[in-house]
Amino acid sequence: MTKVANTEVLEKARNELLEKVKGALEMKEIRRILEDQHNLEISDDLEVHNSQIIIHNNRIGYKIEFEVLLSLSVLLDENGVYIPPDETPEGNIDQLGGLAEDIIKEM
Amino acid sequence: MGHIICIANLKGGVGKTTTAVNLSASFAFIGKKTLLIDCDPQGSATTGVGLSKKKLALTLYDALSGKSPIEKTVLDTDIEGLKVIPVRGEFFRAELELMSRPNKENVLRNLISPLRDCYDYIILDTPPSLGLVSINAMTAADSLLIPLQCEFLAYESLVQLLKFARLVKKRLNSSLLLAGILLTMYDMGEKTSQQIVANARKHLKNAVFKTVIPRSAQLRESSAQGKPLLLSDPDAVGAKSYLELAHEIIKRKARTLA
Ligand SMILES: Nc1ncnc2c1ncn2[C@@H]1O[C@H](COP(=O)(O)OP(=O)(O)OP(=O)(O)O)[C@@H](O)[C@H]1O
Ligand SMILES: [Mg+2]
Repeated sequence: MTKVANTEVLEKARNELLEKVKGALEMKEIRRILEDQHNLEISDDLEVHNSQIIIHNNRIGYKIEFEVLLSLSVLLDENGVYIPPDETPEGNIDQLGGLAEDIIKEM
Repeated sequence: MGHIICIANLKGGVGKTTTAVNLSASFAFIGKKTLLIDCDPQGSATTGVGLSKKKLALTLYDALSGKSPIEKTVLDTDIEGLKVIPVRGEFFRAELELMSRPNKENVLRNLISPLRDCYDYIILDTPPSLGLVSINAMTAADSLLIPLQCEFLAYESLVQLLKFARLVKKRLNSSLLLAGILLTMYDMGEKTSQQIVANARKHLKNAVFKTVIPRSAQLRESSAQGKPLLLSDPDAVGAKSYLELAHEIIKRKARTLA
């Protein structure tokens, strides 16, 4: 094995490149894309969790992983029995009615 | 100065045009000088007041594209005190043409502003979409009237429209008010209708008009015949309910001005 370059220098250059890429990200757009892709609302700031240089369709690409804080809830009654979400038409219009009410208050 | 009411809902077939036509006729009947502007290329409000689209010389499109002064597009109807600016299919092009206009959301507002002083009420009937034409209508309006069909699915589009209106108010027309939500096609014998009315009164409270428009074969037929129901059968329940709505709007307006 004939080494022709210093591994540490290469590693450092790669990390610096990834840092630059992370710094250049349009976080607003990324948030929108993630929200659309996964049909959710992200309440917190997005944080980069991991980043990698990859080959995608024979070209260099960057894979950026994010960490997202999601708050999800489950309903249960006094006896500890699970209450499924209200998906009856009546329950649905009650929820939508509440939503409409909030918007009207703002107008 | 005339009060401009935009009738809108993103959903089709919920009674926008029926409301535009019969409410306009009711205002005129009460003695208010009224102008109905048809902003939907389908032209149902145009035919709804008895005009034949084939015989039209000038339409809203001619005014919008600068080919005619707006005043010349105003036509008389069979109802005293009610005038109309008609449209026909070519108005489909307006959507695209508005795109390239400077200040593209305000074109309609600027166009109709010279007419304001000539009327007590100006009613805008809009297409069931969120295009530039609808944005223009909401930007031109003082208040927004949303017909809500007494059906479970109607609520989804109500929320969407309210969100949209909130945006228009924030960005384009800070004086836009909610005239009210109008429950339409109410069927007394139907459980769904009752649930919708109860829910609307609970959540939407004063934002819902007291007047409810019943499901009525006569209203349906009158729109096909091109005659506001008030003309053909003033005693019909449907005609009376729109008259009641007109009175309710006049009262509400007096209250907000007081
Ligand atoms: N209260 C009512 N009772 C019975 N039929 C009605 C009532 N209101 C409207 N209709 C009928 O329902 C159909 C749709 O009404 P209309 O054309 O007013 O809806 P629209 O919201 O303007 O539709 P579009 O979105 O296509 O413009 C028409 O055939 C009309 O005659
Ligand atoms: Mg219509």
